[in-house]
Amino acid sequence: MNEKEKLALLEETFDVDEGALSPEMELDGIEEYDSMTKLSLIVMVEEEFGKKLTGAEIKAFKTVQDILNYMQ
Amino acid sequence: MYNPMSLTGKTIIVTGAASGIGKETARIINKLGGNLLLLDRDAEGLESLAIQLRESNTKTVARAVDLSTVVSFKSLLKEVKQELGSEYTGLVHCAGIPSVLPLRVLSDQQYETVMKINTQVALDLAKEFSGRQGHDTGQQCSIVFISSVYGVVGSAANVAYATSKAALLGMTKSLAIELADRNIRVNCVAPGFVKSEMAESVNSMFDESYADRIEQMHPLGWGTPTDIAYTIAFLLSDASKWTTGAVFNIDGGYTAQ
Repeated sequence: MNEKEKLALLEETFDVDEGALSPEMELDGIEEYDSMTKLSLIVMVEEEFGKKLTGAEIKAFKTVQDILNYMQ
Repeated sequence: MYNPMSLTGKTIIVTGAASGIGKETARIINKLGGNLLLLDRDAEGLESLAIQLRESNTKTVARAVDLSTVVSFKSLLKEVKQELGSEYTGLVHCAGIPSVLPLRVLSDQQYETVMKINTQVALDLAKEFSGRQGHDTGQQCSIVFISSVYGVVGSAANVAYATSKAALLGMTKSLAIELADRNIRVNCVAPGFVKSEMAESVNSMFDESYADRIEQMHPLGWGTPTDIAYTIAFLLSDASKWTTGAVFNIDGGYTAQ
């Protein structure tokens, strides 16, 4: 999966419009990055990449790029 | 010795018996003198419990089964009944699977899996148990379903689990009326959060503050499987012989707010 595809998957998970996210964006500044999105992220990452995200790992994410780096 | 909660002479089926509320329920039933059929997919956990329980004077049979794939509960119950040498008088459906999934990522398959174990299996077991061959027609019998506070009040990211547990409330009331003629009582326990393997698996998805927040939602703090098992034992015993169609919120005050 290339970065563009990963970004599209993230936009779906965040429930935001296509093109609304970019790698350098800080997660704290994204209104939709709430507890429901974090739970959705756990599910998406497990289903798509077979990895189990922990609460500590989610807390360590600062930017969209951090999540993209994890998605492999 | 006078004990209105005695289960001597009763034979009870417990699903989800290898861990958490199911395991503790089996232990309490055993202490109160009841015979047991233990069902769970965890063969190792089940056998370990069965070995402990067989030290008493009661009979315990354990069967490792995945309840979602059992083709015929009728055959299973009939086979074990012969082994136990007694008719069933009680059924407790403790088996259940948690599901913390926001609506946006909830798939049909995940929804069906939760509904199958938490709700459909409860109905299938009740159907076989309530048949003339499924229970002891010579005495009053009791079915206990395990719902949840989430079957009573709402919670985000729990729609599948909450739906499956809320369905048990309707099932309880309708079956209580339908099966009263057969002298079978049907009741439901709706637990709050108890310290169990299931709670641990949900907690592990969140940071440390999650468990604290959950505790704060219970005026009496976290519960234990024993707190729930005592109520289940009461509902299986003759002490509750005039109780049917009831839902017991055993939740440390969670739903009192």
